[in-house]
Amino acid sequence: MSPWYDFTCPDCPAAFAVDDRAREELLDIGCIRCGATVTAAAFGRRETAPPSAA
Amino acid sequence: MTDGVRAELAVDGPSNCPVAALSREADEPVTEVTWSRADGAPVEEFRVGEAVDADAAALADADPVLDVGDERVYQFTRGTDDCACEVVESLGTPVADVRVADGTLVLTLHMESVERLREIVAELDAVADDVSVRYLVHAAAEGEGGTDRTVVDRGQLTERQREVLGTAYELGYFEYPREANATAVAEELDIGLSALAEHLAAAQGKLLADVLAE
Repeated sequence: MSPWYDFTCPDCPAAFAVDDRAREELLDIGCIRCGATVTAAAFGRRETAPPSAA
Repeated sequence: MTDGVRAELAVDGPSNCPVAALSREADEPVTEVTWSRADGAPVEEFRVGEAVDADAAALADADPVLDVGDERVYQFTRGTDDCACEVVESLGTPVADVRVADGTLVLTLHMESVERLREIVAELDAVADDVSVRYLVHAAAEGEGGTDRTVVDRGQLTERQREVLGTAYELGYFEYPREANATAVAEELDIGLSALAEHLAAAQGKLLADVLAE
């Protein structure tokens, strides 16, 4: 089971849940909404997947 | 193995969206939203609780078709003005699922890349008050070839190597950012830094040889 993270953009209000591979992709390409550079500090571990993604 | 992404978007205040207007007016969720476009203009179908007032303004252009349990199925012909679902489909991405509650459209999309999601979100901004991503998944579904299991022989590790590796892991040495540095791990194990480095390198080397084997 892939771990889940809560992503919070450092530059815009974007905040959403991501899985491990989506986290890596955001680290590579930046925030979906504003394009801001994203570092590991933008992610916090979640205990579970969001209900609608399970 | 597939390599696409799935995302759920919340589209608040979508323009030209009768089902969102209905959910807001009736204070009821709208479900099972689908459409077909056999003859040009799409015919859209949805379900809402049968108790919803049929004279609701948002139902003015919708025709009741039948009752299913405690829900009523309606159909209407979608107008030509851009709506959120049309915008998504115009970019070549089908809408996999639509739910509506409190005037917010919740769309589930499957796309080939995160870049496509960025493009869709930017386009949706033009037809809604606010667009937000609820989740983003970039992983093959289990059972669709998304796993790549291998056997790691932990028996290769000496007892001391297991202890050192386990302690470093428990203290957060492998987290990013690190929750414990090498000094803290070495102190916990009561060994020197060079001994720690040697044990970790030996243990990781053995395990990685198994993990990375072709």
